[in-house]
Amino acid sequence: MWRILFARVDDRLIHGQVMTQWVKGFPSCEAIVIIDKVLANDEYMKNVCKMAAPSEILVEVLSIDEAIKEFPKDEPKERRSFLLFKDVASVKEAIIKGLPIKSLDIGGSAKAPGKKVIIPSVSLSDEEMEMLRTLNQDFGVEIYFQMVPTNAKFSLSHAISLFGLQQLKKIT
Amino acid sequence: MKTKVILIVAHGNFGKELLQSVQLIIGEQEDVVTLGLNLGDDVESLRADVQKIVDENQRTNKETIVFVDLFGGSPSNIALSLLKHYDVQVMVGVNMPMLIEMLSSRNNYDIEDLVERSYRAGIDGIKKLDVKSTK
Repeated sequence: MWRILFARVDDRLIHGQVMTQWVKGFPSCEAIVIIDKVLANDEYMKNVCKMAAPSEILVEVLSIDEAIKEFPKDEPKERRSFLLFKDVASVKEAIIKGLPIKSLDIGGSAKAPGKKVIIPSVSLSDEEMEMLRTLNQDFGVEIYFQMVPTNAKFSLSHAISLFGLQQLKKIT
Repeated sequence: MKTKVILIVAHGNFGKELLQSVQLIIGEQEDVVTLGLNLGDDVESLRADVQKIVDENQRTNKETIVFVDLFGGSPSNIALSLLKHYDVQVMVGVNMPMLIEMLSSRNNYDIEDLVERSYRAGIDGIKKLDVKSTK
């Protein structure tokens, strides 16, 4: 069983910011769980990800369905974990299927045509913003935007106002 | 001996500036390419740029040595992903001594020896000193 310490959307998954800033910011972190279908089927890149983490941290790479199955397993020990997703669509699917994420950091999503910059490391499409709104309104997930722990944290309502969307009445 | 191309992939302008600084010491260099990853950049497009350079070197019968800055960082992840498909050497944790050794010895040694020499230079270049060390 995992206890979720931190969940993040980052299209670079394990990389410099995550390893040098976030993981160090949660010294009790025992495992990094990457939930990504493509990576879960790529043994070679899975190993590259495992190599990149310090030896005391377990790295697991699972597809969404594997993660849903793994999660409620009644193991004697809870593993304090760090969840990483490549994009908003994957995290939305995981939450709808029952992964109990209560708080979600959107930390990395590359600039691309049709996407709006929310913080320098995060650009999202209208569709992705709608998904985040759904997660917040219908699933009660607290959503924020923050690249590394020393940066300011921006709320979903900040992002919504950047998009010119109608403000949410209540940010839970 | 095959031409050896040095490719430096790093966060921000580190690679470009590192090369500039090294050139202050050893002069202008040929066959060195630097790529940087900046905030908001798409890591897949950096991967494509790296692959294009390595492909081109392979096609023109040149060897590629890839230097990256930080183990576990995106440039390092990209370089390690290359190893599956390409015959390249990857050096992680690039610093000035290792790059100087690589560039100034690259026409004198085979690639394996060269990589070993550059690795040694990198490590030997790191010292922890205080006033007692000078006595």
